[in-house]
Amino acid sequence: MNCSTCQNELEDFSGGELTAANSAALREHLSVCADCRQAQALIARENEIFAQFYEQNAIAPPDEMWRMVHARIQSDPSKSGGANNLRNLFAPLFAPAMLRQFGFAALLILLSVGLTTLYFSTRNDEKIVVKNRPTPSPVSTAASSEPPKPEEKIVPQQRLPETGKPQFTRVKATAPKAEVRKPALQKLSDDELLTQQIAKATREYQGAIKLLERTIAKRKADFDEGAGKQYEGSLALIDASIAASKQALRQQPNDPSAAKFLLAAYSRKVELMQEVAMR
Amino acid sequence: MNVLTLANTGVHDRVRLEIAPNIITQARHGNEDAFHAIYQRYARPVLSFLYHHVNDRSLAEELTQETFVRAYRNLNFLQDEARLSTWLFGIARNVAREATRKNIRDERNLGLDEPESLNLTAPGITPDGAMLDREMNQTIRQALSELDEDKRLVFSLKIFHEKSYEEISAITGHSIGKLKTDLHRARAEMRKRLEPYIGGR
Repeated sequence: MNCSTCQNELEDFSGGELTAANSAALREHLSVCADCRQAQALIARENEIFAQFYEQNAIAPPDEMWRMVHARIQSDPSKSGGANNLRNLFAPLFAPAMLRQFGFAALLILLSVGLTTLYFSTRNDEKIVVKNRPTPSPVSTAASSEPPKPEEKIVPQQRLPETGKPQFTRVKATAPKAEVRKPALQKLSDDELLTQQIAKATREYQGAIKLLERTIAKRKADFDEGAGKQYEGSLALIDASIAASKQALRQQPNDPSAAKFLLAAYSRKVELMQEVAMR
Repeated sequence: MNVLTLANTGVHDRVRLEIAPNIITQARHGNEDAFHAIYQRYARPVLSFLYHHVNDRSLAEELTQETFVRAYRNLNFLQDEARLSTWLFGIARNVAREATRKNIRDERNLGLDEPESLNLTAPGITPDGAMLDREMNQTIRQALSELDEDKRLVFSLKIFHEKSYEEISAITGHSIGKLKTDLHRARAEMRKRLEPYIGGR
């Protein structure tokens, strides 16, 4: 062993992290090299100082800290510790920090869903206005195959110069222009509107999920094994929930509860991914 | 309740106390006394770790509190009971990182000349009684706070908390190669600052 290798390994040697063979080789080198022994002594002295620093500056937790922790776990919805696995599994999704981190992505999604809802409710209002317009009487409906006859009105035109009496002329009143409406929108039923809204919100969530997936994929190497497994497990549960909601929605496409569950599951997935992406 | 078992694994011959596995099992089942035992064992090292990380005592206390609340909520995710300490430090590290992200640390970070910062030494330690003088403590604290986050983390976990590279890798998610490089650089930076106090080089 040369001095460079020895000095590079001194840190691990002092931390007990060298293999037996490497330790033996290093000891052998130290026994014949004064410079490396000096380097070893320096590390030992520094470690002694750092240990003393740590001991002198270690702070004891104040008594009220446990009281605070205890109060918080007492009021925690997952208070029963490991007794309720499923509830505990989802508990992190509702943790304050998680909700705070959800922040930006959730805001964007909510904004998008909100705008979509607003857009379609505006369309609904248009539909109502159209519905409330005076409908032609049954008679005129019956005659609707003919162009509507313009109503005749008698209006004073001008006074005759010799008699001073007004001259009356028959004029044709202009027929009201027929309202131009887009046939596609007229045909949308409430169910179709609901389906459109769900599809739009789903697309928004899926877009956000794709973005988050890319971010997480880039950072996956940084995850520790435990956190990775925890994430995969939670994700699998949420995906199962999404699949179940989709199936329910396929069976009953007009069921608002199924739609609500589906969107809530997407929302939870985005929350979870957001937490992991920002970790 | 016999909650602690002894294992002498310390680099500096410090005694490391580990929690008996049955206590963790009991805590998993919602036994608050068992969780209190875990808290009693680990609150101090976790608080010290966070304190060295954020350099603000009150913030470190808040983060320690949050760490244990999260630990309680997530005890079921602890896969290897023998690695409770590593798991707790991992949570503490995440909690600290979130706090750093929110710039709390920057807002609250106290200058070393401010009175609160000068009172951070453990009570009862007087300059005469301490092996290191106040000035050296401040120098080390200042040097620590000037290390970048990765270096400070590995230095603190390796030197103060005597964690192995494998454990630090589990806590931080960094490769062992990176940890060794960071530790090497951290020691070099700390050494530069300590040079005036270590005579006879």
